[in-house]
Amino acid sequence: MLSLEAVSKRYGRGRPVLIDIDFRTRPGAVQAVTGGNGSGKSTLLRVLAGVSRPSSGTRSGDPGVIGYVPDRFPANTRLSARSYLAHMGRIKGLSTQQAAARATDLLTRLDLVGGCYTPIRDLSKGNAQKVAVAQALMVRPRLLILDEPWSGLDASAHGVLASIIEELASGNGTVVFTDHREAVTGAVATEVYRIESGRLSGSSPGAGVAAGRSAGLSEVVLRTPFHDPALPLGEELSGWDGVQATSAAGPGRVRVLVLRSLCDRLLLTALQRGWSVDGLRHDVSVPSQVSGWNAR
Amino acid sequence: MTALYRYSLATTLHSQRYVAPMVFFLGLLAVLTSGDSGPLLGVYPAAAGALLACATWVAASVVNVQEPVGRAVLVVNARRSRDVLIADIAVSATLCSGMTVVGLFYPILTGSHVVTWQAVGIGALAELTCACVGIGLGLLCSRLVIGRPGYSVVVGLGLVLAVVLAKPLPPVYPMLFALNSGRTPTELFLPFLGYTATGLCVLAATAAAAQYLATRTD
Repeated sequence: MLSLEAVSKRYGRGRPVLIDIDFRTRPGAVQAVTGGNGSGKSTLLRVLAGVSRPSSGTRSGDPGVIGYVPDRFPANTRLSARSYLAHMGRIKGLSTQQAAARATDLLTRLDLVGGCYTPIRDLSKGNAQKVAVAQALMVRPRLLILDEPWSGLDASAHGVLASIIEELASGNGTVVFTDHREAVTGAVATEVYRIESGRLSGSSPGAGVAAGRSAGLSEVVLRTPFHDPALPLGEELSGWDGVQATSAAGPGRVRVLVLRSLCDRLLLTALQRGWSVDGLRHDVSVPSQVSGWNAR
Repeated sequence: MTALYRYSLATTLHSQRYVAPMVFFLGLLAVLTSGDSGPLLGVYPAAAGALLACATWVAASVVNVQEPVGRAVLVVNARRSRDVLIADIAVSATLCSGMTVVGLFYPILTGSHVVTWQAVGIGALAELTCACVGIGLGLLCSRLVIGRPGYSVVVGLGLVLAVVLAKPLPPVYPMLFALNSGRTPTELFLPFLGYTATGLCVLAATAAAAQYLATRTD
């Protein structure tokens, strides 16, 4: 957990950008900060990420691995997207093979157009933003800080980013993001803060997808007609988007715990691959309370 | 740290910003030392002085390759801004090591000198000292401390001239002066070890100052 207490920030002798900010991250929460241009949103995130030092007040706590996506990703580097991500993965402690594999996975999931071997400076703004998001996820962060992350992303990437945020929050991580559109912050966040002229207002509850962990999960029972008894049944499913846990449910059947927002996609994919749906239940309890589950 | 070094080296090589100071160094070396036939120690002040100026340029270029936002991302991923700065210094030192080797052997190959290993060793200490001081000056006029490129160039030139010309300021001026004093390499060895140690101290002090100022202003 990370907390800011009475934090103020002023650049040089200019006007204060942040004034007496009190803010605390909470595990499992998606916290949004909204406000107009120049209201201090980005500076608040920079202080949270530890790249900017408060002029007064304290930043305390160690949330563990932090992922940070700035509002403007530097797009002039000649490194390819994959190479850049591999470097960032190594810096975060992954081996070269692990970093390369993780980079490929993330770029595939975010659907990078233009190829992962294209220099970042030749990518469009939206694709460079996907690289920015991917670098923050090279090692699963405990605190993900996103500064206007939807800027430049296409509609499909919006959905992927929302599911990533949801997965992190479901795994007891914390996501803090800014956006000047209150419709977006209200839809995704569990807590919404407003910042005006450097002052942060108290939080209001959002209607975000991760508002309650149990309310965001669905249980699906799937049956396969061509099950090989020698292979673990849930292994293939555990790699699918949104799947939180799997467990055996009798011969040729598997019970899958999936994020509610990605349940329809899982059903569609399962049906297309020849599985049958034997049962479906929304708003089930969290996997840790159910015995016999294999968490993802 | 190895991963940070690799990243810093890769971005520096891709940016090609190291090319201009290296070409400038070769040009200075060719003009100032080619065809000389005097004592070998007599040509090393020119090589060391050229290395001082180019090391300043190289170090500033290595740090400035990263835009401030990219550096912020790097600092978050590395978890400590100090490590990022150390990696930049290591990359600058790598490039300066290459220039030191060229600065040591180019005068031997193009001039006619009586070559002794003792004289080459003293030359190496002189050039390494200048490289250390130059890297330190480069950090002070990099984007970490001075945001405007125009001011950075002026401050860099001023610092290099001050270090070379200011008589009471160790280690560069007294070291270059000693090379032309006519003393033997054996006599110069101990003082030059001291100059090199001082150069390393200057580098450590300027790195700490740059880190402090960068943190204060960010």
